[in-house]
Amino acid sequence: MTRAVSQAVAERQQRVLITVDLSSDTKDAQVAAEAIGVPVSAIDQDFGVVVVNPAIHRHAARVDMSAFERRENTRFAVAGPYADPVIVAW
Amino acid sequence: MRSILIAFSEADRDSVPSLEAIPGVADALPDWIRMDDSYRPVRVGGIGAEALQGLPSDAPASEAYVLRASIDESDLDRVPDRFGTGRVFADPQIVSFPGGQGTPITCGASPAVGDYQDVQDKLNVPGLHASGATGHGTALAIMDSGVSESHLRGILPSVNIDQQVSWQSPGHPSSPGPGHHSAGHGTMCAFDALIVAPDATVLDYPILSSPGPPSGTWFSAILSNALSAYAHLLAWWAVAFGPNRRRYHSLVVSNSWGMSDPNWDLPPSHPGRYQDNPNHPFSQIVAALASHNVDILFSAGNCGSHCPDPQCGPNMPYSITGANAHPDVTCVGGVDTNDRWVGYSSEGPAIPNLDPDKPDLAAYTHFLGSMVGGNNTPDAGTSAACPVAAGCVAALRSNHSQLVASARRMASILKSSARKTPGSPVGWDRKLGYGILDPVASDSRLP
Repeated sequence: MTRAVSQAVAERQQRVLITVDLSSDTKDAQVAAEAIGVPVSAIDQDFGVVVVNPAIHRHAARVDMSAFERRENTRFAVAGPYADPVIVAW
Repeated sequence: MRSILIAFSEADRDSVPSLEAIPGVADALPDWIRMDDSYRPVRVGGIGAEALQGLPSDAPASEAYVLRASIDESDLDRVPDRFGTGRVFADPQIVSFPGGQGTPITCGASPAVGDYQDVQDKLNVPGLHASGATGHGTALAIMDSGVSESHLRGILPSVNIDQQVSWQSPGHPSSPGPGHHSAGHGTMCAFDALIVAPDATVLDYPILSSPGPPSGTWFSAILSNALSAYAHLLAWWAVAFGPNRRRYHSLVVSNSWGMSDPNWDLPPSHPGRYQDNPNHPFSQIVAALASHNVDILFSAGNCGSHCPDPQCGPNMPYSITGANAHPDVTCVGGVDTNDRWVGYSSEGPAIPNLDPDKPDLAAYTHFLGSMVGGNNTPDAGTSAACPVAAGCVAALRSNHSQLVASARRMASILKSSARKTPGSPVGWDRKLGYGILDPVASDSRLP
């Protein structure tokens, strides 16, 4: 891996994926931020909030790693952080 | 005519070995043995006098010479185990592995092996189309760098791209729109699918078109792009396939991408890493889409042991990882049009925690096709093999929609009807999976 790619990979790993089970298929960043427990500014607005599994209303957001703090969340099932690695065409 | 070898243990080691130099040869051989004078006797099995210099004096000094002879097939049964002092050994035909063409294994820099019409012939595409398997009514999502409809129309007689299904990479809202990208990797993928399923409708998902890391010529992005695209596709499919809105009866998704270096992931001990994690959000959305009977195909990757792509990470214990190894996807390795494994096609078993028996099967690659890289540049990599396989599935879906054959059933029949190459093991093989895709055979077995 070149130094430039290493740097790009490292920068991207500052942002991670978090999943949260909401009560409905909302895509509202504010709702997701509150459920995850981060300020809304930590949510990547470009990525938004996407539905990963509609059957259980599981959503994913892209979040600043520095803002995410693992803690007990009794209201919402939050999981992560998950990697958001570089992918390439084969 | 059969060739045999005759080994003699006693010879005049000071003279150049020849038939005449070996005592008793002429007397020992019957007249139905024909010595091959073109084969210079070879000294084997022992240590020559010159090699003994400097070794202990009790080192073995045996000497053996091998000569070649031929016999008629009808004399095979009467060949003794020795002629005089000469012992007889088989001299069987040998072939290069696995196909026997005597040519090097195809690698990334190898010239094209055949063209797309050869691929169509190998897959019996005319037969497939004659049965009605053309891709009609099937949506074919190309998850790649974007498609150039104008380039495709320059080669293919007809191209259908759904202009209403438009996804844009997060943070890059200036996407040119479906079918309006420059010709590149994604166009190659679309072409390679449409040579089998010309009536399928392409859904253009340019997940690799956003700026990635400084990477020279390869197309790259981050996984969340693919996650966003899958979420879009999942929502669209629920609508498009909803009651009274069935624009398509089936959906096939072709993915010619992956994470080629494990160091791009979170560390091995991290519970959130991607490459071996069935709970990763992308693994979850693949499972969710597959549960709707969507056929999802992934390329195996180009990190095969013989000639891995330079972008592959060093010392990779597993070259098939992440969604490419997901149990709900069909993982496609590559063969050239001589039915030979290409040396860059990633081999199984896949990384633990996912499905180890990957690749599932192999499809054709390294042929002249889309010409997106120039007139003599082949459509190469498992990037080409995956859409060829996806095109086969899209074509088959015209005759066997997801309403009558589940995605799991389709995947199972693709594997059970795959064609084995001579000498390949029974069952699953680490290079070719269950064999080379045979869509006509699959067509006859699907409900």
